[in-house]
Amino acid sequence: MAYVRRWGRDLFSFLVGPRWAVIITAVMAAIALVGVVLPQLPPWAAGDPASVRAWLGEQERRLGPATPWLWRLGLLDVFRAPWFAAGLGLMVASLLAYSFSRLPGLYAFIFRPRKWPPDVYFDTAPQRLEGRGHADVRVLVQGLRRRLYRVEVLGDEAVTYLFADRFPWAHAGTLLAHVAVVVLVLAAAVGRAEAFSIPLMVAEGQVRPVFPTPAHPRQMEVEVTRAWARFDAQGLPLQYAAELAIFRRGEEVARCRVTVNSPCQYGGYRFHLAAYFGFGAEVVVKEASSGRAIYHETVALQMQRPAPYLRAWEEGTGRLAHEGAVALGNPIATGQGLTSSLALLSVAGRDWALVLREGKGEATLLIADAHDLSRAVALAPGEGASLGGVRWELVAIQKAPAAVVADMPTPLGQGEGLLLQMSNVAYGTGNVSQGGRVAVVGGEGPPILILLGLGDRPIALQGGEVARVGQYEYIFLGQRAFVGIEVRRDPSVHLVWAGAALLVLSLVFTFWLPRRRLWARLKGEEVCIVEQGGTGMDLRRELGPLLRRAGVSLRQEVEEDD
Amino acid sequence: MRGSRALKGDLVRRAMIPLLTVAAIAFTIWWLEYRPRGGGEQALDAYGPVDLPPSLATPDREVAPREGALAPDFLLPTLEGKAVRLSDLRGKGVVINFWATWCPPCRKEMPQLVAAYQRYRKEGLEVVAVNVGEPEDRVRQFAEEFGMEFTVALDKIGAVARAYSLLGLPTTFFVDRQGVIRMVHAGAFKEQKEGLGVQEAIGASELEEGILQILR
Repeated sequence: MAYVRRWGRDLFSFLVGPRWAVIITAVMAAIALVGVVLPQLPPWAAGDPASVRAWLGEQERRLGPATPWLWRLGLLDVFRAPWFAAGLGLMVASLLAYSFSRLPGLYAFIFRPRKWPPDVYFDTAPQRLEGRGHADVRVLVQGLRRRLYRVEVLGDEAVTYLFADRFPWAHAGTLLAHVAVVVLVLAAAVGRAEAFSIPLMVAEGQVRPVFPTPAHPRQMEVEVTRAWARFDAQGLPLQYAAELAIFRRGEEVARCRVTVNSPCQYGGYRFHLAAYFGFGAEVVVKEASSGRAIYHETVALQMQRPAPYLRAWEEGTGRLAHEGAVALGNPIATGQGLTSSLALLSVAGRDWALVLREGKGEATLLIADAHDLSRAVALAPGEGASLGGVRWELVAIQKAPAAVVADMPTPLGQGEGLLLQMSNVAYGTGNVSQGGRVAVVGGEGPPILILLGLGDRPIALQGGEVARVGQYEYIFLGQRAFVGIEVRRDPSVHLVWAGAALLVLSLVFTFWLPRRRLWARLKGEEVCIVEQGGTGMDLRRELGPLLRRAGVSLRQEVEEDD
Repeated sequence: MRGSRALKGDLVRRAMIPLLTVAAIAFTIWWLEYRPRGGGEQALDAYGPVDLPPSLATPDREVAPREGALAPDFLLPTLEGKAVRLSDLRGKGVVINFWATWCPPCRKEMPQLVAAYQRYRKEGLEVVAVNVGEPEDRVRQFAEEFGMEFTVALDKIGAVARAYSLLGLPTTFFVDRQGVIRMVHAGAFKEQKEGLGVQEAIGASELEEGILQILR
């Protein structure tokens, strides 16, 4: 038992010792500096040997042959290393032990200060003010109290002592700084253990759960009821926002508007708006016989595919027979770096085969009579030509948002999937945005969804339109925005705030509200005031007027009078 | 003696300030993180997992959410404003499908369940689609759009989903006429033949395989 007690005492002495505290702090600071200077293993690679190997391979290009050694020494993953955690623990233990050891002394220093110093101190104190005269103690006490001192009058008839103390609790400033460091280290530990973050991609009108496990005890769902954005003339987003509804256990528990800088909060979780994508198409497929939905999804149009924007007039009447973007089939490599994409288009009562040849920075659209391929014209963007009584103009070849959807029901069963491409896409359709409407692809007019793969020719649908193919009805409900929501929970935030507040308090106490103690001795006509704590303060300037008011002439004035 | 007591009192006093500070910080953090915020904690004590009536239990089979065991009993509210208790369906083949509207595979397989129910209901098939944790109006809208004519139960707090040890959605339990789980299927059903529509695909899907097992 005695051995354990002695061992505990030794450990405490070790931790309390300022030399060790300085060494530990310096070593941790140096290691942290290494961790900041050297590249560190990113979180996504941690725990996955393949990712670690790939990342180290990348680092070898920067750090050279030292990379494996740095990795073995743990210097490329400093902040996750157990020895770093151990070092931090030691530092915290040292700070706590030191702070704890100071508590009794600090308590006594603050609440039981020395009120009556030895007489010799009045003769030797570096900060000293002397004078002569019958001091009016009442005036002195009132004056000091007005200067926020707590004053006590002590002594006997022969000698009167005054003790004045200001901001005694400011002495706890350094202790607060130590506690702040401990709290901040604790915050880092809590953050590492408890922090949660998950990205969700949600379309307007869709719902996503926060946790992958359906019956998670803290399960919540996020619904994006609305999303909108404001864009500049080039289509770059200037500002975006969304309205979220948060559900828990089947009940709506929060509803709020989120922007990039103002997240929504519920149950300790924050819902940040992290991204905005304006290209999505809400599509429903129904059984025509029963009217029952068998598919209802908002499809993210993540691909960008070439879409020739064509105009065609009947030459005889001058009637505009076609205007719009054309959806093309999958590109086929045709050698020499060129690809060809095909489409079939009905214009002026006839079928036309379109072939877009792309490559080497150029693009040409070949238009041919589908029943007589020898009759064809080739157009570059901006060019026009006549063919088969139709005047063709290739306005532009733009990139249109598109997606291949594998699981959408088709009359022919599951094949290779349907190609969905949206033209007349606009950031700022009535549904998606209330901001500046900027047409990105296509011309004026509402967005048009082109479905390719439901038969031999594409189907173009405007919002709300229905196309019946076989036993199914295809309905395009409209363009929808997708937003990226980052759900985060970090209990350490409050600890960080608490640590920062303690740090600021300690700085304020130390630099702006230093403790100040005055002792005055009134012995006959001799008056002496000594001071501690007011480094850099001019005692004569501060207390001179008060002493004069109390009937005391300062020593210099006395000598001048003499 | 008195000195020792005074010293103890002094120590207690000295310790009180840091202890109270730590307690105040801990309480503040707890309050900010976990304070009750109202809503969502609806009392649903009557619903959830319930004990299997003794008359329906068999001594040689345990009650557990796995193949070969008796299906754990539950009582849940339905979209029609009634309640469904699994043990009341004893004598029928029951497909218990756990789902949610936000779950894409659940949405994908729902037309198959709808078609299977229409096809096999006369042979004694019951489908109980247990929605996990969603608002009733959202579930109703989805059920109407997809024409779900079978029982849609609402497991608002996920208690039944937990009792069935779900790891993901959708998960489907095939319970035979004796209340025994014959098959557990995690994930969406695959249609084994390509080139078939929804109705035709039923005859060749994993779903039908399970249904045929429980209707024997």
